[in-house]
Amino acid sequence: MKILVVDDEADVQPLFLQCFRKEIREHEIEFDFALSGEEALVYLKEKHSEVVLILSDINMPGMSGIDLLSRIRHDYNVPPPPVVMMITAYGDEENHRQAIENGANDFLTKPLDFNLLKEKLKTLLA
Amino acid sequence: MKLNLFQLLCALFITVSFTARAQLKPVAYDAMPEDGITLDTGWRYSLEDKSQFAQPAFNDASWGSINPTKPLYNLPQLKGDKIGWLRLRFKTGTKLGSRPYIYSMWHSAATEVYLDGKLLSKYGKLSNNPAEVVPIGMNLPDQEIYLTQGDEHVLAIRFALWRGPVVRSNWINFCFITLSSTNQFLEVSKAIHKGNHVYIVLTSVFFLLSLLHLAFYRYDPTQRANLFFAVYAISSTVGFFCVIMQEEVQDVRIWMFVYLPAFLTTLMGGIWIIKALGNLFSLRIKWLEIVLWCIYAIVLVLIIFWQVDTPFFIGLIIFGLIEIGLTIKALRMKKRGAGIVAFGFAVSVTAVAPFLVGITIGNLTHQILILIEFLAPALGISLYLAREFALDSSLLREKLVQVETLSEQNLAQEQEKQQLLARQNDSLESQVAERTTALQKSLIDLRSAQTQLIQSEKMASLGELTAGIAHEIQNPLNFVNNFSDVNREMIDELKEELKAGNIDEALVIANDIQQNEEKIIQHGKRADNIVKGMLQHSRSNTGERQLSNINTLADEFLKLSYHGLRAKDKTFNAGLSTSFEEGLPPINIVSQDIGRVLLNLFNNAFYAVNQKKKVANADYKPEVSVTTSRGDGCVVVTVRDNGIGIPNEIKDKIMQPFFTTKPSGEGTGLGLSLSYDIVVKGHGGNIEILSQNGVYTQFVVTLPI
Repeated sequence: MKILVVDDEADVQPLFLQCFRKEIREHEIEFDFALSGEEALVYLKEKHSEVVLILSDINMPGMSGIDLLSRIRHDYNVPPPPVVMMITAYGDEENHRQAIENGANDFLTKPLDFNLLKEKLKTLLA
Repeated sequence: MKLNLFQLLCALFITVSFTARAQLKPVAYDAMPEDGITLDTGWRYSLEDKSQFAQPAFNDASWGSINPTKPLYNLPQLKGDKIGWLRLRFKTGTKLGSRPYIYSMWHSAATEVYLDGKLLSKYGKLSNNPAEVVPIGMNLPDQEIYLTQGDEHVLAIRFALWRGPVVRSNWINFCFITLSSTNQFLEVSKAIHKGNHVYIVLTSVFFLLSLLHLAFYRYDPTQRANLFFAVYAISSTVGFFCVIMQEEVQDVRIWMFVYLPAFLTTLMGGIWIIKALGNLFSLRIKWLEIVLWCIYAIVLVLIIFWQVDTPFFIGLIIFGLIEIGLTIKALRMKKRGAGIVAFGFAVSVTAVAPFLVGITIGNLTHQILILIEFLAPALGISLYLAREFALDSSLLREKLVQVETLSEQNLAQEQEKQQLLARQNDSLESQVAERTTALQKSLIDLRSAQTQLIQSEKMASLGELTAGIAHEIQNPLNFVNNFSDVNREMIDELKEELKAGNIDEALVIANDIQQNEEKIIQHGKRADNIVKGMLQHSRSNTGERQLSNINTLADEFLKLSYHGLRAKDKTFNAGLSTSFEEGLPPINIVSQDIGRVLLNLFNNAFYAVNQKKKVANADYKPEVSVTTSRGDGCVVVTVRDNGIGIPNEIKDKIMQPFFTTKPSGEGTGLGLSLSYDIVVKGHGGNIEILSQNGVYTQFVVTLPI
């Protein structure tokens, strides 16, 4: 399963790779990273069929996570649509509402609870 | 006959005929004419000079006949300049009886008169040299002679001719002798005296009029009629004075200089009075004046070379008619006061009428009429002028009263105004004092308010930062937490691998742990920095300068600003691009102050793009870029946004305190003003603004190294 993580913090990449090192080692999950919404769109243009799940930060300079979400829902709406989970440091209602309105499948808050995330992935894979 | 104007006037209308009565010698007189007996016939003359000619017995039968009453130029037989003789034999008849006679004589020569061989009188100086002849012949004393009726008397006159100037006129007789009764003499004397009185009166009156109107003219040169009238009066005065002098002067040489001017000045007066009338009634008489002077010149020539009476009176009548004509014209034009002048002329004409129609009137009446004739028009015009003067002056007086009233009012108003001004001045001064006090108080208030404002501006920007700071701290904390979690798990794994004896695997895990720890430390420091920065920023005292890295500062505050705005407005977003030149030298700055400047610039940039996004179409991508670079002896920080830009009209104002384009309550208006103070005054740097309205704004901050 290929997962695209979109976050402007570069250190998110070693964090994910560390947290999911077992899954990666066993080739259950494969991660790709983008540092901005724009980068994510470029990536998706070529590999949208491979990507099953997109994890995106909301709070990013330039294209925000919400923008990216609506673009994804608009551009890649052929079934099966990719699962998009939004992550934000501010777990407030406004961000949550916007994310759901724009078609996010789930909503996570920072700091990420990786165990919770893993559970969600398991249900997703199942 | 005395030669005065009155008699000349009479002479115009009464034809005096010198009837040549061919009588036998001696000439007999048996009646006394009204004017006395004029000895104009029976005369004999000789151009020789012998003493026996005086003797009554001398026979002059061979001598030529002559009428010596004629002017000299009419007596061509008296040629040469030698002393000569005249002789007349006459007798008086029974009607006249034996009686005394008054012997009167005037002549233009020097004479010795013998009656019946005895010297009767001697006047002047006789000489065969004409240059030595002194012609005393005018206004000679009259003498009484006694003539016995029926006796023959012989009048012998020895004469020396005086030719005088080349004058061909009738106004100097050669020798004019009359015999009159004592009664007649008395009457004539009285008439002469009265006549003299008339002319003395006229002279005096006209002299006064001259002075009066000269004075009028002197005090009001605009009224030229007064000048003309004064000239007329002077001219007439001279004329009348000359007439008086005619009765006094005995020397013919002088006499002719009082006789002729009497006419000429009187006539000239007529021209000036016409000028005066023209001026008074505003009539155009330029051509008329020229004609008058021509007439005058003609009359002058005629008087000198022909005779006095006719040309003079014709001239006088012409002028008189013109004067009357002008007056009538003025009357028709209803000129003010023309009636007075007209009345004067009317009276004058009335006075002259008896002469014109030839009514015989007494001497006294004559003189009075003459007086009236000359005085009436002059007084009419004089009265008119005086009236004008009086009217003008009363008008002036009225005006003066008005002016005085007005100036009094003016003065009163002026005083009132001054008082008002003074009062206002006082109240103004006290108001100014009050205001000054109030202003000083306000100034003090303002200063404290300013201090407070600066502080509150700091707090406001701090407030804006809060959310950003929270986010910025949250992120590293997340990493710290997450990496710590991961490390805990990995340490468990490490232990398991060690227990299992997989050293290689254990080392790999330990490396990972070590890397994670570094991440933890790194993000912990990051949070630490943020907190320190925040503390620095909120400190109100002016910080000390320290060497700082501008890139770090710019990056830190850019993020703070961005996330602060994001935290407040979830929909807000903008592209950030940073281009920090590597290896910039640290600069000596008060970093929290410069931080505030940068924060302000970033906040403004984000605000600008956000504002534009609200109105721009969907293609608009908000972009904020921050660039640092090295300049000549300085470091340059450029903050550029593609927001709404700054309109030209407010470019000059944006650095002013309290100037803000943000809605009320959103901005203090102090951000850029304080930034300017910090950069320019605090650090000796510069802030430059480049902007195109609706396209971009670029702030270039230059800080010296």
